[in-house]
Amino acid sequence: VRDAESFDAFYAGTNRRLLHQMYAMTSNLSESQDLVQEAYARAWQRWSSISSYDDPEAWVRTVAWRLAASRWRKAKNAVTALARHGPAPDTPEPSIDNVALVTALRQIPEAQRRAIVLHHLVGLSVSEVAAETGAPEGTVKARLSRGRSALAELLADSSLAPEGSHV
Amino acid sequence: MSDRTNHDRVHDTLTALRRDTDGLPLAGSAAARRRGAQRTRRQAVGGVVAASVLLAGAVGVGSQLGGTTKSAPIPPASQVPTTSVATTTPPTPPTQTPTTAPTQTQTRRRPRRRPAGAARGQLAAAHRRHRQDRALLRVP
Repeated sequence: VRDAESFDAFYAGTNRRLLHQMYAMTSNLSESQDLVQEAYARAWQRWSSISSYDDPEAWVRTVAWRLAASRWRKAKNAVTALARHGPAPDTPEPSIDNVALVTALRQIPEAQRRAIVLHHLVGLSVSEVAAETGAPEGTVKARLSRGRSALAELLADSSLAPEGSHV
Repeated sequence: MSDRTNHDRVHDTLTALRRDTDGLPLAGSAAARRRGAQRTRRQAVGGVVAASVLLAGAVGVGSQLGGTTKSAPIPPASQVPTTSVATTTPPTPPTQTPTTAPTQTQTRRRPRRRPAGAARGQLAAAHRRHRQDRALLRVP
């Protein structure tokens, strides 16, 4: 019972934030919704140990990202499932203001998108991003720089472009 | 200073996505717990099924191996016709039946001693029977 209560509290405190982060990473509302829910389900399976982690939210976010990456690899299956079942119901369309941003995010490589979200939206430092993604810090810096440049170009917003080394 | 501004701009741009997720319905924590419990059950059932399949395979292989070791040794091919033909034809071939062979070889050796009279006729008859038996043995 205590486990369930602590899990419920954790869920209530983090689910919207994680959904937002996964939406920024995947650029797909319904997909991020399902990924987050699946990651929480897996967290509940081993909640007794995960609850003792310093940052259980990072664990759920990493699992959700890995699930997303796994699904992208099985994109063919997803297309088949979509053709079979149709789109997920009750999924609101992105707001008009965000359509361009979501479209731009979809066009940059996954690794750059993940680094940008973790650094700029989640607020992790470069070293923390490196630890969560398992990439060297130099690689993270390069991904951030290239990702911002690509985003700025796609959004025709020069203010997003990196100016020298600003990471 | 420009670095900070740049960081804020990216942050603000990404934060704007929050508006899309605010209206998104999310299943509650109870649904996540239910889904997790379901996953645990499925994994347990899958594990049991996998273990059963492995066990059944191991038992099958073991029984096959055990069956070959426990079964009676197969007699040499040359002896099989002897037993089957022996039931149909009373006089067995001298070369392949140890029980009858000594008597027949003795009768075969006697002509070397040049027997006379009736013994020679018996020997010829034994030779005929022997040829007939061998002819029968060649029939598949």
